[in-house]
Amino acid sequence: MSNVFISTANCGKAHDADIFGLSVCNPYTVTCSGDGSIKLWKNNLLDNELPRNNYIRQFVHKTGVHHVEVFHSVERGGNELCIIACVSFSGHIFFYNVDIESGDLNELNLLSPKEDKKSYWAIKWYKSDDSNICHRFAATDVKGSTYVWRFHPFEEELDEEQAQKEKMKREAKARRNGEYVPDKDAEIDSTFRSATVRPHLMLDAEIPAQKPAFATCIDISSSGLIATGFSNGNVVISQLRTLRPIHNFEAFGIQGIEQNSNTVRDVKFSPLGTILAVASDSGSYGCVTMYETEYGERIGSLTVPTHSNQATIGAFAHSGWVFGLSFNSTGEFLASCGYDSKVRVWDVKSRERVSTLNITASDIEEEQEILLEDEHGDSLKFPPVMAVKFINKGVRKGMGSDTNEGLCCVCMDRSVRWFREAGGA
Amino acid sequence: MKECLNDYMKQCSTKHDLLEALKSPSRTIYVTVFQGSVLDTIESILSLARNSIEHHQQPIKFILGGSAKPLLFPSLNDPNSTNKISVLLTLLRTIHKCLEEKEVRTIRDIYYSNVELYRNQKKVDYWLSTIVRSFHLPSKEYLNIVPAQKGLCYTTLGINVETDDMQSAIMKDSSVLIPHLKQNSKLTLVEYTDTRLALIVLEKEAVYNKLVDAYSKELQPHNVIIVTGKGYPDFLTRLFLNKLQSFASCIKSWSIYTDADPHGIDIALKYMENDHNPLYKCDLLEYRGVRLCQLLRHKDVQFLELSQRDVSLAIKLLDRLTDSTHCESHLFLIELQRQLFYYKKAEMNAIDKDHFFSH
Repeated sequence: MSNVFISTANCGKAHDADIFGLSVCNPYTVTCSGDGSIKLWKNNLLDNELPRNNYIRQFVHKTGVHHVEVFHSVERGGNELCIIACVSFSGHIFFYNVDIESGDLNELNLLSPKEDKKSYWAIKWYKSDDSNICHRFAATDVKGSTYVWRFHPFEEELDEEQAQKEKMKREAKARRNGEYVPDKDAEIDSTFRSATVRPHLMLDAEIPAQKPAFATCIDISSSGLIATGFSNGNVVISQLRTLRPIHNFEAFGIQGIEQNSNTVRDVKFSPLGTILAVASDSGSYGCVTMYETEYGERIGSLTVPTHSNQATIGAFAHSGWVFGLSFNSTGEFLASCGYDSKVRVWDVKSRERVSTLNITASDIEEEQEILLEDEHGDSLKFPPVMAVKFINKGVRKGMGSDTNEGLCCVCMDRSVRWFREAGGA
Repeated sequence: MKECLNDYMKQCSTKHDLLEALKSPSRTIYVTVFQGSVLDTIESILSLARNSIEHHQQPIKFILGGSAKPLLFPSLNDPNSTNKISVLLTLLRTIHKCLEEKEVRTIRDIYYSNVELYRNQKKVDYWLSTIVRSFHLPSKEYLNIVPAQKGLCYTTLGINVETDDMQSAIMKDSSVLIPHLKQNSKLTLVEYTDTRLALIVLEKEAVYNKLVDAYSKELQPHNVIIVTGKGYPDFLTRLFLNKLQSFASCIKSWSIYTDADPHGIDIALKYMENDHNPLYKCDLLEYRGVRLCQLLRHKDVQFLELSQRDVSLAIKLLDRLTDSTHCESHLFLIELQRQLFYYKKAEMNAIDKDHFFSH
C-alpha cells in the first residue's frame, strides 16, 4: 500500500537564514529561523492567495530561534487562546499571545526572573483535554534537566489534585447510590465564564539529568508521560504527574567507530501515548526506533531495505540524520524527515514505508525564490529537511483538505512546503 | 623620652590603630615613576631596595601601576608577599641584565632559569605584564623579553625580515618557527614573480605538516605561504600575518581553515578580529571552513558530541557576533547555529589535503 502526497503550496526564501523549527496549529503554520524571527503563515488561504503574501513576522532575538511550539485551545467560556513559545540560541524562552482576529502578537512574560536565567533548548506544550487536568509546558536545558510547568489560562488556578479527589469522590458516591451523577463540568464552566484571562505558568518541578548531557528533544503524551532525548543517545520516560523516571532507553554505547554518534534528535509519542518513536543518529545515517510505553519494550526499527546483508547495526530509515518525526492524528502513520532531503511516511503497524517525498530546491514554484546554494557556497540542490509535521484534516483550507490529511516541512533552502494526501475526496 | 607601650595604648582606641602605630616606618619605592630609560629606572629601583634592606634594615613598600595592590616587605598579613617581592626583584634584575647585554630572552627561558621561585610560567607572564603596565610600555618586547615562538611558517618564496636595522630571513621551502618581529618590522618577499601567491592559515599543526609534506614532495602549480598558530594563535603569529598583509600585497588569496567546532570559529575570529590593537589582526583572511556541511558529504567522518564547554562558548560567541560589525560575521553566525543545532563537531583532519589547495 502506498500513500501519495501532492504539493499544495510552497514558499522559497521564507526566511533569511536556516529554518530550524516548525509548529502547526489551526490558524497558522509557524516557522522559526536563524535570522532571529518567527513567521506565522496563514493556513486558511483562498484559491488565489499565496503564502508569500499571507504571513505575520515577529522578530524574537538576534542570535536566532531554533524551536517553536504553539498552544491553541478554546478554553472554558469560549476564550480562544493562541500562545507561541520559542527558544533563541541564547537559551531564552519567549512567549507571544496571538490575537487571532487581528493577527497582533503581544509578548508575555511567563517565566520568573530566576527561571529566565537558565539556558533552555527544547520546549513542548501539552494541551489537556480533561477539565480536571492542567495544561502543561515543559522545557529542557542544555545541561540535561527537564522542567515542567502547569499552565493556567485564567486568574483562578485549577487545583489538579483537589479536582481529581473530588471527581473520585463523586464517582464513588455514584457507584454507592447506583445512580448517575452528572459531571460538575457544567457548573465549573459557569464560574469560569466570568473569570479573567491571565495566562501564567507555575513551575511544577524539575527532572534532573541522570548524567550531564545535552537534552535535545522532549515530548508529552496524552497518557501522562514525558520523554526526554539526550545527545548521548539516551531517552528517559517519566511520569508527568510524579515526574519520576519510569523507563530509560540506553544507547548502544559503542564508541570509536563511525556509528558511534547516536544522538537522539527527536522523540514523539503516538496520539494515544502507547508508542514512542525515537529518531537517533548512526554515524551520518539516521535511525527511527519505536518503543511501547507501558512496559518499555522495543518494538522495532523503521528501515529501508538495503542491498547489503553486512550492515548489522545499520538499520537506517534515512541516509542522513533524522531531524523530525510526526504522527498523524490517528496514530496510523509516522512521518520522518532528514538530512538526505527526504520525507518518509511509515505505516506504524506494519513498520513499512508507504511514501517517500524527495525534496529538491527546484520544486519551488516561483523561480526567483529558488535558493540553490547557501552563503558558504554549499549546494542546496537537495536541501536537508529540518522539520516535518502532519496537518489534521480541515486545517489547511482548499480542495480535498477536509477529507485528507496534509504534511508540512521546512528545508535548508529556507523554504516551507505544504502537501496533501492525494485522492479519497 | 620615647613613648612606651602604655602611651601608645592610650593614644590608640582600636587594635588596628595600635598595630599601625607600632609599625616601623617603611620606605616607599614607586615602580611607576619613570626616570630616563628603562635601564636607569630599574637600576634606581634595585639600588633603593638594596639600600633599605641591607643598610637601613628598613621595611619597603612597592607601589605598582594599574590596579595592583602595594607590596610590603616584610609583611605580617600577606604570607605570599615575600614571594611576590622576590619574583618582582628577580625579574627586574633579569630585565636589567637583558637590556644591558642587548640580549633577547623568552618568557619560557626565564621561567626555567628559576622554577622554584616562579612555580609556573603564568606567574612570570603575569609579573612581566605588571612591570610593563607600571612602566607604561606598549609591550614586553621593550624589556627585551618575548614570548617563545609558537607559530610555524612554510613558504615557497623567501621572506626577508628587517627589524631595527637587523636583517634576518625565512628560507624558502622549509618549515620554520615564525621569527621574532617587532611592531616596526618590515617584510619583503624575494624572487617574487607574477605567479599566483596564496596564503593558507591552519588551526592544526598535523594538517600543516601534511600540507607542507605534500608541497615539498611535488611541485605545486603556484606559490604558497602556509602558517599555523597551533591552536589559539600567539601575538607573534598574528603580527606576522598583519605584516604580510601590509607588505605583501601580491598575495591574492587569504584563507583560514579551522576545526568544525565553536573553538575553531573562536580561533578564526582571533586571527580576523582585534578591537584592542589593530596590529594583531588580519582582516583579509577569509574563513573557508572546515564546515559541518562539507564534512557531512563524506560518509566516513567521525562526528563528536558538543561538550558543555563547547555549548557555552558557542552561545557566548553567537551573542558577541550579533553585535559585531565584521562583514563575515553572518557566515560565522550560520555555522555556529548549525553546530549547535546538530549538537556535533568534527575535526579538520578528516578532510582531504587537496581541499585546502582548491581556492
